[in-house]
Amino acid sequence: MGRQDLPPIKGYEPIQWKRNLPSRGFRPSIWLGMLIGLSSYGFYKLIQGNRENIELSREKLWARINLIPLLQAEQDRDVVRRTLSYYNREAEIMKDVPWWEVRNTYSDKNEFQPPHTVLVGKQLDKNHGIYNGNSRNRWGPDDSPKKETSS
Amino acid sequence: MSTSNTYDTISTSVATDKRRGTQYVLENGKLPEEIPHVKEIGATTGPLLSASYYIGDRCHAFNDDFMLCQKENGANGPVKCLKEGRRVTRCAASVIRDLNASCKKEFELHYKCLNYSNMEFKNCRKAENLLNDCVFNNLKLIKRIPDDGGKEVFKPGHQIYKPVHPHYPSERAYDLKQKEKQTQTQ
Repeated sequence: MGRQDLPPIKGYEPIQWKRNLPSRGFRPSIWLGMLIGLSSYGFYKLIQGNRENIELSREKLWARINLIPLLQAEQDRDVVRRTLSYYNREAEIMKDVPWWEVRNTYSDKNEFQPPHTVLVGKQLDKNHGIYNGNSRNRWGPDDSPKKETSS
Repeated sequence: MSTSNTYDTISTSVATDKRRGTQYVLENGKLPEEIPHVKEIGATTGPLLSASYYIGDRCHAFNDDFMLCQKENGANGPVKCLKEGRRVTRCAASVIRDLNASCKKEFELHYKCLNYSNMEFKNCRKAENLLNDCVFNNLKLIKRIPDDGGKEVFKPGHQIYKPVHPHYPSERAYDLKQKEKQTQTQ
């Protein structure tokens, strides 16, 4: 009979069940804290920037609001001028028709409404290239002096 | 090119006449004699935008009056509010005239900066700061954005975003001014 294997006199060494690796980085709670801190800072800056953007657009808006009366006053004056001119011209054309009345024809309410049509003439001959370069100006007398016909 | 007029409204400015190619516009009579003539403002977007807050400060009452008149008269607004409109135009013209008289350099710098930076105020803070100081000292007009809750974005140090394309002439003028201030305090 062989001898039976027995444990050493002082017993076995303790088994190393834990990994023997250097610990890297911080504790998870610290990582979590850093994450929360960093994203709080980021969101803070983001919100500040959004607020600034809102203020910038409000600034633009108020600049425009301060100018609106000025721009509209100018525009209104021009529209009124052109409308009155239109009505005067209409009265001049229709002066032989006794029952004619120059008025806003778009509604029965006595409201100001600029005419939707425009009395306009186009100058066809000036700067018109080759194909109608020699055509007559049919809206009025020609600008170019007429050729004197020898007679 | 069509020979007939196909536009369904009267054109409202000389610019529109030009664009439409209507060289014989027949509505070019003057306003009747009893309506006093007032010279148009004649400034482009940059100067107007630059002066807008000062116009708003000085002409606040006239502007409100004009807009209330328009609101009351509805469709008849353009005819009924000619007087208020003239006041508005005269007041705005006076602001532009005063700016040109007392703060010409700063005003030009600011509107050139606005023209350069696509009419964005945020690109022109330095020029604007110079202009605000000058206008406050000479004309006692303040730039004020209503309901901004105390954050005045146009004041120095109140911005997060820096200008993407700085306007160098105005930056240089601002730095020069700061140096002058430092030498004065020393």
